[in-house]
Amino acid sequence: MRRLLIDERIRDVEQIYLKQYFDIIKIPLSNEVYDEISGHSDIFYCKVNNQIIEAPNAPIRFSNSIIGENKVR
Amino acid sequence: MLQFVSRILLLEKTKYGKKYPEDVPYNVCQIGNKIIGSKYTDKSIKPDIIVKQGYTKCSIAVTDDNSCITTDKNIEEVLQKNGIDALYIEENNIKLLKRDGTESTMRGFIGGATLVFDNKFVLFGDINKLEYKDEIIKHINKYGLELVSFDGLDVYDYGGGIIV
Repeated sequence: MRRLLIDERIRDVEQIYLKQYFDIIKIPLSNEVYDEISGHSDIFYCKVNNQIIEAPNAPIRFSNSIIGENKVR
Repeated sequence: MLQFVSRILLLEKTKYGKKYPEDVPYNVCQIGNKIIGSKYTDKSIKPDIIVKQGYTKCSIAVTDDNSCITTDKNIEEVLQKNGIDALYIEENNIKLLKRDGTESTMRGFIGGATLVFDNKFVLFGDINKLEYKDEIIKHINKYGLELVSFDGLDVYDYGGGIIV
């Protein structure tokens, strides 16, 4: 099953829906950015040409990703 | 006293370090084969189209290989010039969350409030809460997407989701 990386603040009803299609990986809230975006996948990661690129200080690391140059803060 | 002042300065430095544009180097998206980024994008990523808005991915919900919905006027203009069908919505009812999960006063964006996969357009909340409901429905129908909306819920920007 595909895996979906998403903010841990997702509501139960949304998570139940998405679980039909994905294994959900909840992003723990980071202390390195302001609270509102602290669990946002699109702050710490991006996907281009099917390749995951992650910030050096991303909350979860993936073995098959490219690590970018800049930390987010 | 000196130690106390140093601590305050350190706290201030930390506080003010947590802000735009240092939080956006990975906030890019891809529409078809075109990577959309900004001048703040990390050097490991080579955008094909540069927009002013550093919160690029937050501001764009990709709806097909050549279309999107955006909450940023400049993004709409730049993408349209590049032949992409971009629908601009000036939506005020997308919310961000505080650390404890309660609603923040900050406004969220359409890219962060949606997840598009397998021809589904998942909105994190109820489409009826949005001022631009009709325009969004018309656009996603045009691209054959099925709307998934959650009755009665305010629309939250979670930063979208990434399939890994």
